[in-house]
Amino acid sequence: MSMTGRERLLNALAGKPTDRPSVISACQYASYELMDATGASWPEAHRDAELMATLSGKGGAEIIGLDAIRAPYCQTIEAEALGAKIKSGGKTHIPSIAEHPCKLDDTPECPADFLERGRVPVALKAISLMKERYGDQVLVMGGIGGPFSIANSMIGITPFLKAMFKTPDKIKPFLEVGLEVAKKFGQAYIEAGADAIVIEDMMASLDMISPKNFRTLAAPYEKELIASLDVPVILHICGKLDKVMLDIAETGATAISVESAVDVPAAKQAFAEKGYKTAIIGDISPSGVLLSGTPEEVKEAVHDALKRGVDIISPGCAVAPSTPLANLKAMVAGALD
Amino acid sequence: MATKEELTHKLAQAIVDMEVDEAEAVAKAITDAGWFSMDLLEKGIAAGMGQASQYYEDGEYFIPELLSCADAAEAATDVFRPYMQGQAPEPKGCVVIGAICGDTHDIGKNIVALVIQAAGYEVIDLGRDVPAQDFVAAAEREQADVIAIASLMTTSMNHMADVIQLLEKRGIRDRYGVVVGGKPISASFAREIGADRYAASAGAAVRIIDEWMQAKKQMQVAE
Repeated sequence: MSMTGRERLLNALAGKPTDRPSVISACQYASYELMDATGASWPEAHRDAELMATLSGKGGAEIIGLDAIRAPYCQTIEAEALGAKIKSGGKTHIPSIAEHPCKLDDTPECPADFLERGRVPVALKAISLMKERYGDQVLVMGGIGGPFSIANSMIGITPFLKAMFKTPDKIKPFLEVGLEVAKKFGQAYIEAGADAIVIEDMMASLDMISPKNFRTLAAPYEKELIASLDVPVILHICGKLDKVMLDIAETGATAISVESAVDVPAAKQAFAEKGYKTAIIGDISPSGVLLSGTPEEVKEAVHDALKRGVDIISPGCAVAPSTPLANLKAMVAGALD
Repeated sequence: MATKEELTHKLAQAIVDMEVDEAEAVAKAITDAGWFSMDLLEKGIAAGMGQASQYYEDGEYFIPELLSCADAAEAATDVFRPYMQGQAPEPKGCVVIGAICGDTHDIGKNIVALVIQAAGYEVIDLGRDVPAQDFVAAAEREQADVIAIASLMTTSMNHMADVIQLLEKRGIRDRYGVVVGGKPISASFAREIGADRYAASAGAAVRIIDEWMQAKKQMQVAE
């Protein structure tokens, strides 16, 4: 019996049988071809709920054929709402932080009206429109930054990492605000209709910080955030995470989204030994395969990922906007045969 | 009293150990003893940073550690700077470096720039969010040997190819070695966009640039 994308992904997240492997994009998947095909483009789609819902919803559910649709595209919404100056990425890029809102010695706080600030209402409205239009067919996912990543977007990664090393007490208030912001945003997505939350804690990568710092400064906040969200939660972290895969599973995430740098069979075995049911999502390379490969190579990468024990197929990180649409479709086609 | 060799070693170790005050104190002890010489930059400071970046490659150090090593190296360099006047060594070559447009993350690029500089190169750092034409203009202006392009984000990495296309369009592609790096970048992606090499780390970038300069010298000799 054929399943809807929604049923398929919910089953896959719960470790139950599916009619075929589930395919999503845990991180952003808007591409230039998708913008042309939906008539909803950057930069407008970053600030307009209708366009965001069209590009993400129509683009993801109807055109690519994913089992889940998500918004937004960038990771600067929280920082903007906290006072960061944002530089538009124009038609071709995502927005970026031009100026961080705080300095290390500031006492940060989560604004009471956070949910009304900047593009937060846009993302929330887009999720409710996507739920209304596609909610019976696919899973609708709201994207937030992880507490660690929100915290360092407030003062900038370099001062943050230096302080982490020398004066860790000074960054704790930022992590607390990061946690509070993420909880509020996640909760509001759920109220707007989100079926699941994706936490992108990209800066908590072992490319940046040590396993020890991951355990003390990133994981505890992720865990508290996840406990506060009453829906399935996907935790995405970039890079080679082998040394902390068990720690990530212990945050309570329903699934972990990883890049191909992670040794999936080893992680699966470690999970099995501990009795953890955490699903692994990934790990199709956005650069080597999706951007520069052929549709055939994309399909092969999907088959290979499934062989290595990946539970749910997804690009390993954000999709490059110039990625050919044929390759995004091939990622779905690869799971059909 | 410590010998010059002992102090030089101590300086390198202070940098590896991220001891900013110690690095500064040792550098002062060296200059107070009248022992400053240009080779300290290589044997003390570059050696310390080289060891630190090796620890990073080995997974023993992470970015916060490297940044702190760089602070210690900077503190020692500040002490030496007044003594370096007029005897700057001939740089091994000139490297233009930047994070490609659309990418405002520059932490990785900054570290690579520091390590390349510590290895004896003149480094022209264009900063972050750099358009393709600025890479090419700077390389031409500075008569650079190598263009190093960083990208931390999958959403901006495709613009690295613009730099290479622009070089080709102007017929100056073979004047420069183009090295690319950054988290989402791979050797196959580097080949795909026509870069000469992919550097997986700061240490690898130095080795690749050293090789490039070696090959360039041999070509010049052959000509």
